Amino acid sequence: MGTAGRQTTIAASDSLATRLEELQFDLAEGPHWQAIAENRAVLAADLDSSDGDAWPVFTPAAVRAGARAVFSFPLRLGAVVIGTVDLYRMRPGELDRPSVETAQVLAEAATMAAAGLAIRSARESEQAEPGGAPALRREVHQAIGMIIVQLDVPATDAFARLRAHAFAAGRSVHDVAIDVVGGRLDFGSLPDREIDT
Amino acid sequence: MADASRESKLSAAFVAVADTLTADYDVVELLHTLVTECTEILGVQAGGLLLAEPGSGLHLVASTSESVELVELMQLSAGTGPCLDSFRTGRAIDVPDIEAAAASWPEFASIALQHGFLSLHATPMRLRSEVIGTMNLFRTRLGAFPHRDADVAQALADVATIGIVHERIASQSNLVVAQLQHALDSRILIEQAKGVLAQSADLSMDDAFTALRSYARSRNLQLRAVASGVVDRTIDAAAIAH
Repeated sequence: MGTAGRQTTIAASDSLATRLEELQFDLAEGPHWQAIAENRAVLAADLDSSDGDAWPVFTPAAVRAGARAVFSFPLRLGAVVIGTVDLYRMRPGELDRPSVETAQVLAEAATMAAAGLAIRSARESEQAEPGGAPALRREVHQAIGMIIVQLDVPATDAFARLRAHAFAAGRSVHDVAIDVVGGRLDFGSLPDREIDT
Repeated sequence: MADASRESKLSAAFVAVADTLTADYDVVELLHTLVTECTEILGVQAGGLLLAEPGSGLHLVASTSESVELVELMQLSAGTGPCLDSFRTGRAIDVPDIEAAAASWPEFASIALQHGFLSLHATPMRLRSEVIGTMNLFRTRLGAFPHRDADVAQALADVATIGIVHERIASQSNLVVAQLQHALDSRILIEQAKGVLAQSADLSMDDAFTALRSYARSRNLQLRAVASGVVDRTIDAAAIAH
């Protein structure tokens, strides 16, 4: 996850994976986006079959690049979807049950690291904080809950707004969250131009 | 406390912890019960339970109070102090006089003393050769933790650890990790739900947590399920707050 709501690829295993991530971002279409929108794993075992129909532009481009199967797992922090782990295969085939379970465990393991990056990227220098990763500080999640009500948006959007505000203000997400929880910052009262970043 | 009375309280505590191990138990509810029961039976003034997340260290999952001060102290203990040492060594650590031990953990000792705690006992949560977290009990008076009390704390912690990581899957390390992550994620969801309730029903975070637990218990629902419903607005906040 990048700053101000933009998505970035955090890690890619090889050039094919990199290329496929680029395609999804450039086209704004693909299993990554569907997994985020629907908050569930999206498993396409054979892009040449009807599995690929959902992405009329991404699918042929992905196949040309060498991929025949894609599996996308959402990364969640509570109710917030912060990104996905995307797995690709150069031949078609289902992901068997144990592999799906392992992928989900790996996705959860990646979540803490990804969330930490998502939060730290909102400010250049983050002082080392005692007591655990910023992604897990209680105030951040309490603030997300409050913003859900203040803006009447889902959790993932509330998190994006929180990060966008921190980035625009040059402050850490945690610091902004503390202000929200303390009642000093109400997202419902912010001017519209800031909300539309 | 008279022996007979303490014994019946102990039995009740084991029953309470074991009760949470039903088919649909909620892990945060289990851990909250554990730390609360230990605190009451063993006559300590505060307790916190930290679980380990591979790669990011210890995280606070349950405590006897939601107050900012206690939470802050517990979160600090995840990064430095005897609780962290207990986790790393897999042994219980008793600190009869926090002030006297300040040289070992200056930052932790300073904050603990500020909050009025003079002694503490850290109990590792062990699964075979692995340590998955620590339970930390704080007292406002000086003195070593009685051996009997340390044994009780360890026994209750062991029962709870089984609840977190079921014996039958303990041999599969990726599933163990999944269970721990699930516990941490449940806590995150609960914090998000507290925020929704605090804003929409004008509750303090403490009262929001109490309201969530009461609602879950009275309707026999998992705490995590209630939290999830509050956050995705499928459960009306007004229903929880009253």
